[in-house]
Amino acid sequence: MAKVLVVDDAAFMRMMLKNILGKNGHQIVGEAQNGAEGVKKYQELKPDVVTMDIIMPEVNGIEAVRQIMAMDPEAKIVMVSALGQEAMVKEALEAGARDFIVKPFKESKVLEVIEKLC
Amino acid sequence: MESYKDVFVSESMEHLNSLTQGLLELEKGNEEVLTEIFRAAHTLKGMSATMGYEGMAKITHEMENLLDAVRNGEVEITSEVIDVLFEAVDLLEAALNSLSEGDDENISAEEVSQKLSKFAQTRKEERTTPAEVKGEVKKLEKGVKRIDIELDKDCTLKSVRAYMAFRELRELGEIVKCIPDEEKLEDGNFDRSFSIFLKTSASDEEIRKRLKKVSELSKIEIHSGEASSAKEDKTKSGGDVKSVQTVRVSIERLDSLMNLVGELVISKSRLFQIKNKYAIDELNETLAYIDKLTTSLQEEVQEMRMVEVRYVFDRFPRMVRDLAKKEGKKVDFVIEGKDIELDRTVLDEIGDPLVHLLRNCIDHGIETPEERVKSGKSETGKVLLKARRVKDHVEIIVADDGRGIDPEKIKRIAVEKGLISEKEAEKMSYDEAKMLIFTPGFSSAEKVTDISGRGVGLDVVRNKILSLGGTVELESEVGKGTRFVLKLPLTLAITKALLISAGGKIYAIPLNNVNEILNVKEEDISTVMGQEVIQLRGKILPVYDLLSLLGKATATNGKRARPVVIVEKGGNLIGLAVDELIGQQEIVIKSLDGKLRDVRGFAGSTIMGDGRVSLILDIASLGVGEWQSR
Repeated sequence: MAKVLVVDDAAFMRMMLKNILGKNGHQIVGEAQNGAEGVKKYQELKPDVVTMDIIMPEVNGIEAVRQIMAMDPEAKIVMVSALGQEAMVKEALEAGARDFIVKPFKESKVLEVIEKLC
Repeated sequence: MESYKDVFVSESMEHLNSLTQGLLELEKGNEEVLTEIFRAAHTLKGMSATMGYEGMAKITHEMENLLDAVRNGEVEITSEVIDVLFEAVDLLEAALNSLSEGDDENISAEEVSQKLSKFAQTRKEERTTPAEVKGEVKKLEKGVKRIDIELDKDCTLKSVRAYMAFRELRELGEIVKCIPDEEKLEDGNFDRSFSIFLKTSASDEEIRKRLKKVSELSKIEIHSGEASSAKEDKTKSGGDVKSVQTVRVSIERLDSLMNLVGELVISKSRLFQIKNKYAIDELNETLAYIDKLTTSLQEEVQEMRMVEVRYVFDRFPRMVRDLAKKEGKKVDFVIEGKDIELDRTVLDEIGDPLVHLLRNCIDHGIETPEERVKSGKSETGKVLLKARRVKDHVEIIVADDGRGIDPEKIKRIAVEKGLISEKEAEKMSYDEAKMLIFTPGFSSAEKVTDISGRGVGLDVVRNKILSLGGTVELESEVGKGTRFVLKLPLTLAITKALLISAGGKIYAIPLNNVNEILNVKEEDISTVMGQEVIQLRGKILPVYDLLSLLGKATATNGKRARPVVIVEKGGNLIGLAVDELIGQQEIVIKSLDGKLRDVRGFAGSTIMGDGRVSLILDIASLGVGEWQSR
């Protein structure tokens, strides 16, 4: 049972993740629409896991990872990427993200990744 | 509860089989199997030493030494070396058989062990450089592990996963090489698998633990030290790393399950009959569902019992090789269709019949090299064992290109043995004469060889096949060769049949015999040379009144409109005229016993839905006159 912070600029994507995770016994403790908001909410809520979209306005996902990792080196961040974003996912991993999931989501994969981190 | 011994015996048998196949390949000159042979011997050594079977352990230890020396190129592969390895295999098999019967090993390992070590010691003085292993991969040095990784089928960002795997492994040591190369991996330019060579002192467990952190890895295989060519391992040991869970079930359990399902099928048929009789429409839906359920249940049970024929076929190459050698004949033995599946009981039962047939081929069928050359054939005879799936049954073919069956010779011998009279012999058709070899008491061997015994094999073979609900057909041409075709039902007890009525009685014809069904009008039937025939798509087929064939007098006029069932018999199509077609039904075959078994024309009996018994026809043994369809 993980406490998850969902960061994505698309409400639809946030809703999908919320559904998948909620259905499987995880708790969505907060949402954010961009990287800056994501970092802020992380400080406030101290979630177990963060799902982080890559391309977002204001502060993008990779930068957000850096900032969160600087605050909390134990942070568990999962990147949410689309096809073709290999280089960016690698960059995020290098910045400290733990794993990634690809859109469109496969429920089993999302769960595999989230549950592995808890 | 199975004891360790049982598991040891069955697993050892598998490894031994692997060894045998490998040795046969090695004999043909294929050296790629060396690693596998070595591995099999090595595993057997470990297992038998653990169980305390010293004889087996000693033999396998010496085998391993010898094979290692061969692998390294220190000892040459000669036919003597192979023979002694086969000797060792035979002794190990004897030990396993003894153990499986509840006895001790009961073998004397001294002689063979000495022979093996003598060969191993013929290694040259200096160690030559290790034999080069074919394939892209070098032999692993000490301290380097090869980690084979396979990604999930639906993994999309492959290069990232590969990157993550690399990242984890770098924490444990130094990556010396990877396949495919780094560039391809970075571009995601690979299918799903890749291999990383890691110089590390970490244990396999630590490596796995690390890699567990990376999602979407479906398979992880770690090889260290003695493993060699990546290619071989991938193709051959692929079967080891199955994540499929299996359960061992006793055969009695499966049989009892099979029986229960059979009874269920019968009861279901009865229910249908009752529903129809009283026209209870309300039952339609439920019965339809029950029908679906029983069919599924039947299919599941059948699946459980299905085993690949390779388990029986694998015995044969060795046997054929030894037999041919003994008889001084040159035989090229080809097996096809090893992965066709059969019900396990059927499979068990056809082992011996196939041995008989193969022995017959080599003993009586294939001629000596000199004879063959004299008749313009190649020195080496060909023997084919083929399994294939045809509609809903399995065909197993045993064929040779030898001297074929000479009907005149057969007739002569049968008359000499008093099996038939001279008069009967004269009247006999070619087809009927051929079938004489299946008569009990027939033996065409001039002398009794210890190879095929007294030639009593064939009638026993036929009865065995019939009792399984199958048929045996024989095609042969003098000088060209002989071909036995065994048709076996997929499942032992339950099969689909066509029900027909003739003379007021109901008979069942197994559907796999039925080619076509026609409704024949009076004008379609003509008479040619006293035989009633019909035309079917340009061909002329003989039509026989079923009742007459069964030896029953028919009170009706032969020439009238009736249904005709076209069946295949001895390679030709013939028509059987019956009174009525009743329908298709699943039937449970109960075998005939006692006197009824020898009556020509019947393969068994079945209980109908209404409790009546009807007889199942055996097309192959129905006596018909000679006819060649034109």
